Formats: sequence, C-alpha cells, structure tokens
Amino acid sequence: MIEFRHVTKTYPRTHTHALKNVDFTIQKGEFIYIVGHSGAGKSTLLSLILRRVTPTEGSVHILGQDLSRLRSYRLPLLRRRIGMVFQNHRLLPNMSATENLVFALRATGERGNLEHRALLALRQVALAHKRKAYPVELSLGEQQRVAIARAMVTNPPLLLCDEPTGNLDPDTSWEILELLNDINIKGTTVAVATHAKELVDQLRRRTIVLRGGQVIRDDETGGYSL
Amino acid sequence: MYALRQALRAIRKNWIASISTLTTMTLSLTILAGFSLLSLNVNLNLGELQNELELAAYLSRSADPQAVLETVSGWGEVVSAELVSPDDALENLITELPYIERPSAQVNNPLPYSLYLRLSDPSQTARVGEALRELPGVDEVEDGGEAVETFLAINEALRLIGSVLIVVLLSSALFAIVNSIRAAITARRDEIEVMRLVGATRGFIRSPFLIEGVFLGLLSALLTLLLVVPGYSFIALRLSQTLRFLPLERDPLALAQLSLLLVALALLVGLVGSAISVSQYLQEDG
Ligand SMILES: Nc1ncnc2c1ncn2[C@@H]1O[C@H](COP(=O)(O)OP(=O)(O)O)[C@@H](O)[C@H]1O
Ligand SMILES: [Mg+2]
Repeated sequence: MIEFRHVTKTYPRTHTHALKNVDFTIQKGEFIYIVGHSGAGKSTLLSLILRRVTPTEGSVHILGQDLSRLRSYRLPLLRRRIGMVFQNHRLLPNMSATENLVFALRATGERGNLEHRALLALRQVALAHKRKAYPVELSLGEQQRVAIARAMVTNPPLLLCDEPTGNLDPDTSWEILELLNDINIKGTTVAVATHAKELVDQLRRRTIVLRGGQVIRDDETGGYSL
Repeated sequence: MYALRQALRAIRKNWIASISTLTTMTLSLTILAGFSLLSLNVNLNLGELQNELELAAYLSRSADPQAVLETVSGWGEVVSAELVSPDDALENLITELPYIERPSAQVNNPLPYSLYLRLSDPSQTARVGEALRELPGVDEVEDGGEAVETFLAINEALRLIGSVLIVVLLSSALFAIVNSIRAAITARRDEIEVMRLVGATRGFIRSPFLIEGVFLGLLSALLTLLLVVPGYSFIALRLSQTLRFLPLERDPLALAQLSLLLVALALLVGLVGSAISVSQYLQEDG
C-alpha cells in the first residue's frame, strides 16, 4: 500500500535534509503512527505520499504505483484515492458542512446525488444534525470531524492525517482518534502523524519514530518514546 | 456547466472588478471599432475615387490617334483606354452644356482627339501620367494625381495609426483580463488548494477561469456593438444628409463582418488573457 525505498528528501532552497534514507512498508488495512518532534520530517513524509513533493533520492510506491513514474495528468487520480486531514481543518468558511463535502465530491468529478452522499459521510462522523452549519458555527472537534468526513466522502482506501489533534483538548483528541480507529476497522489504511504522546500510548498501534529525518524506531505496538 | 456557473458566480461576486474590466475592454473595442469604420470608409472613398479617376490625354493635331491608342493600351497598368474623336467630344460637351450648341456650329471644331485611361492601381497615376507626357503626339495630360496622392497619404497614415492603436488597445484589454482573472484566482485560493488536495483535474480547476475570461470578452464585445451600431447609423445618417456626395459604407454584409471580427477578437483577448493568468498564477504545485 505504501512503500518507501531509501527515500531522502532535501529541500533545495534551504538545503534542509528533511528525510534521510527512510525505508519502510505499510500494508493494506494497517493503522500506523508517525511520531517525532517538530521538524523531524513527519509532514514531509506525508507530502511525499501525496506527491506534493518528490524525493531527492530513492522511490515512493503508493497503491502499487511508483510515484516517480506517475505522469502528472494522472496525479489527480492518485489524490482521489487518498484522503487527507490537516491540523487546521481547511474547511471552506463560506460553505456549510454539506457544501464542503459536495464541493470535494464535485471536484473529483463525481456525479449523482452528491448531497445524499455528503449526508452519509457526515453520519459516519456523527454530525448529520450539523449538516447545515458553517465552520464558524462548529466546535474545533466538530470542524475536524467534518474535515475527516470530507476526506472520506469519496471512500479512499488510504487516509493520511497530519497532526489531526494538534488544536484539540485531550478528550476531543481522543474522540477523533477513536473515529480514525473506526475508519481503520472498516478497512481503510490510516496513517497519523502526531506528537500526542497520550494518544499513541493509549491506543497502541504500529509506530514509526522519526528523529532528524531518520527512522529511529519502527515497532508493531510501539507506544511513544523518542 | 458547473464551470460556467462558477465563472458567473465569480463575476457576480467581484462585480466591481468585473465592471472595471468590462469598461476598459469595451472602451478599447469601441475605439478600435470606430477606427475600423473610419478606415473602411476611407478605403471605400479611395475605391470610388479609383473608379472615377481617369487619366485624360489630349493629342496634338499632327498625332496619329490610333498609334497612340495602341501604344498606351499595351501598358500593364492600363485597364482600359478609350479614344474619343473631336466630333464625339463636342457632342458630349453639347449634351453637358446645351447653350454652346449654336455658337459651336459657327466655327470649326476646336477640340483635339482625347484619350481616357483607367488604371488598375490609382497610386500609379502620377507615373503613368508622366510616361504619357513623354509620348510623341501627346499635347497635354490631366492626371488629377494630387488628389489621389493626398488620399493615399491619408490612407497610409490611418494604417500606421491603426497598427499602433491595435497594439495599444488590445494590450490594455488583455491586461484588464489578466488582472481580473488573477484577482479571481487569488479570491479562490483556498478552494483551489482543496480542489488540488482531493484530486481535481487541471481542467476542472482551470476551466472556470478560462470561461470567465471568455465571458468577459463576449460581454464587452456585445456592449461595444450596442454602442457602435446605433452610433454609426446616426453618424452615417447625419453625414449622408449634409454631405450627399460622400460614399459611406452601408453594406450590411461588410458591417456584419466587422461586428463578427470584433466579437472574435474580444473572445480571443478573453481567452488569451485568462490563459496567461491561469498559467502564471495557477502553477501546479505538484
Ligand atoms: N517547503 C519546505 N521548504 C524548505 N524546508 C522545509 C519545507 N518543509 C519543511 N521543511 C524543513 O524540513 C524539515 C522537516 O519538516 P517537516 O516535515 O514539516 O517536519 P514535521 O512535520 O515533523 O514538523 C524541517 O527542518 C523544516 O524546516
Ligand atoms: Mg508537520
């Protein structure tokens, strides 16, 4: 599902070595944490999966495709199969929850009753009753759940989350993590970049630990120790 | 259809920017259209002049009119040459001025043989006139060359001003579109970011902006026609009342062609302008 082969990423403008010789494989259906201090390279790793950046050395294989051989006109097709959630929800402020999801569906070229599909996705995150609410009318946790619903509305086989609980209090963070776990149980591969120690220790899953761009640990039920 | 709706929504939402773009474009197109009509009419007058203009040569008594006719007919620039005998010339004159009929009967016909030429290209008038003067047997030449020369100079100046105007006006229209679409892109930056993230195609992301540009072009072309068509009719009417002899372009086909050209030009400016903006400000981030 996700395969990094000796991946090194150096940002050319700043000569920052964000990742060094990173090598791992994530199987279909796994739930995996990517942990590390700020600047360890977590976001860079996720950006490589989305091919928002390309590796300086090595190769990245996603859903059976070598991204270095992916023609740019096919990039949207890759992105449609990957859901993405950020620390900042990135919902469009001038659209209701439903409209945000419909917007994403439409952008991926989906046809048919998009409102209905949006509603189904909102029901998955237990927010059907807030479907008409605008982002400012939602709590931070609710905003993040709508963002997860948007990422999942096209039923992608892979969900990436970059610090999904970064702005949330512990209880709300835990709710979000449970939601991600549910999504994983239903069959979606989930990768969560985080530095939330409590969460990683509470819901034990495979953990890749990054430090200074290098994988220093890759444990099946790791817990958070850097 | 979705792209079209997005484009219309963007125009409505940024209506102040849209209006300023439309104003600039309409103004540019109106000046261009006015200028094209002016050129069209100058050309028409030039054509008319060309049809009416004849070189006239009066032969000396000793000349052999047929020989001169043959020589001149052989010249490449000469479309037609007509020899008029003194008798015919007198008759023509009497038809025009009937009161000279009686006096003319009292004397011998004083008129010479005359030769009337039409040329394929009026700008050659002076040169052919000169050649005609050199010809043995030719007494006098009337070439009306100065009038033609003046007209040609005006036409040449118009063409020059026209090229400059086209460049200046079209680029200002183009910049208006480029700016307008850039503003539209900036206004939708967050939406574009989300679209890219969820996997929208380039075409899906770009088409609303291209449509917006084309639409602004079309709208300004229509506004221009709304100004120019009644405006020209009014001016043409006034001119035809005061200067009856002046030929004016009234051919609906020519005017329709000009309108079509204007619309096509506006659409092209809209498309090229928005394409420039889209390729400048929507760089694929990978
Ligand atoms: N676009 C970029 N250009 C240059 N350097 C970058 C860029 N993005 C990240 N970096 C650098 O790469 C390193 C890893 O950053 P990042 O992947 O964002 O880490 P994390 O998400 O773990 O905090 C940092 O030193 C950061 O400054
Ligand atoms: Mg980060």
